[in-house]
Amino acid sequence: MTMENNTVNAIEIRGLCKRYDGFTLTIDSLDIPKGCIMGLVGSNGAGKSTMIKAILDLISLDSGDITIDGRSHHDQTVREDIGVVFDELKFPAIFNAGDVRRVLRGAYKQWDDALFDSYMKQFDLPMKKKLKELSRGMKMKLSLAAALAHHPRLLILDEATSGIDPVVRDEILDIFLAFIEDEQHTILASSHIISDIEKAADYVTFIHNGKIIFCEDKDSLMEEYRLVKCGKEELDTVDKNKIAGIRTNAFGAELLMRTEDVPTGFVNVKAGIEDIMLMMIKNEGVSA
Amino acid sequence: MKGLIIKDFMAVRTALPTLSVMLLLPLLIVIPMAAISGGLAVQTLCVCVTALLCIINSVVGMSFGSYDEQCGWNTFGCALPVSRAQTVLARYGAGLLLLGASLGILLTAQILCFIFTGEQIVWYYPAVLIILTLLTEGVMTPVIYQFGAQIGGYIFAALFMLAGIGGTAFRSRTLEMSDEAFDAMIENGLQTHLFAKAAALTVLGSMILYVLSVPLSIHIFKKKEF
Repeated sequence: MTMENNTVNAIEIRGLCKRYDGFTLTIDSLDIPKGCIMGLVGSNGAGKSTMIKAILDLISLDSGDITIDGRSHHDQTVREDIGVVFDELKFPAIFNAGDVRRVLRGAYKQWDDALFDSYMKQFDLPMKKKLKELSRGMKMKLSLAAALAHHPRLLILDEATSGIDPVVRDEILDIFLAFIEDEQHTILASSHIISDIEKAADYVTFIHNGKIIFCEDKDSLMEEYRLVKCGKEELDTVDKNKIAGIRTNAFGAELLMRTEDVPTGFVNVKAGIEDIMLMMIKNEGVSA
Repeated sequence: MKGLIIKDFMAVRTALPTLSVMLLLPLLIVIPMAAISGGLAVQTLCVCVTALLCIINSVVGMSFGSYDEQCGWNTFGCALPVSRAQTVLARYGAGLLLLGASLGILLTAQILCFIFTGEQIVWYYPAVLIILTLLTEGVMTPVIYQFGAQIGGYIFAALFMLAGIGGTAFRSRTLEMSDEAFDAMIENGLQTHLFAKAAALTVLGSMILYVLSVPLSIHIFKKKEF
């Protein structure tokens, strides 16, 4: 059942803790505003998929609350409004797109055959070809068609673009942008393909070792950090507490610093999300 | 829930030709015998159909879980607007539909035998089919939810062997009678009221076990993480 809800945030996470042997995901507080694309980035095993599973109620939490559009994530009706795309199409390989449609028609109250068919046509996907005969890109597009054909307001994608060629990835990103035109629609997409996040996301959440390192507006984030290039002698003059990340080489170093901390006279350029992420991961000991 | 039941049957549909051959091949041998000699051959036909249907029900019932595991369905299925209890109920619903279809096939075979040979329709074959299907699904469904389809398959094979060994041991050690006397006892025993009561109680017992297995499966599935 779709409920009109006036909450500002599509997803709110409070005090989340999920422990596994050797790994703990901890999120004190995270809000994902409606009408945006939230990119979830981090290395493999950082906790991105665990966070998505927690949101989808696929795992039990040791503590914490998650609300989706103002409703508890345990509430099964909330899933009427969520479209999910995992890294694999999780239907038996002998199914074809028509079978997928038949199954999901019986699962979602708001399932729209015509919309599904229009996506199939738009993505140029065959209705009768078995899933095992489809390429990875085609499977992902089929997943996306299935995720969108019940008029969701929240689209959750877990590594949906990995292993897909740039052309198909670009098509998929265009679909995201079209979906997000409605201000009530939200996308949470995890990916370690940073260029996709840089291209499409409004906000970026960087997760590492089960903890959120930052969650910021993408443009502000890219304004906030600079890559500073300096020689070995210059490096000694920089306040170490103001270095968020460092990459040394034979000639000197490349520093990640907040814009306001960049010493005058140092050569610096805008930092990309990938630079920010990589340098923070490699320099955990350095204060951010 | 409807979508989940459809999914289960669509997943196993590729096995249908094999299962049909499995069912039809022995029948092609027994049917001409039954048409010519009637009597015992008709009984053999019914035993054959019942046994095959029991095996098919067990195999297909377990295949539902196996297909889910192979493609990682449960991760996706639990993200659908369907509760985990409904997911489990759908699986039991699919099992009951399977039992209904197999009962239909058995009764059709019995009616055809009656039409062509005049052999009376015997009630205990459907009873055996109901008992064995409900027992198998009642036991194996929670086992598969708990341990997975592969280990579930091993457990099923072990139970099947134990039942066979137990039956043989009971036959040879407890009764200590000749094959003829044993067959006569079974034949006579099948006609008694005591057997009818025992059969009715066993059907009831298997139904109770089946029903009790539902909350157990729900409990197990609700605790699962995907």
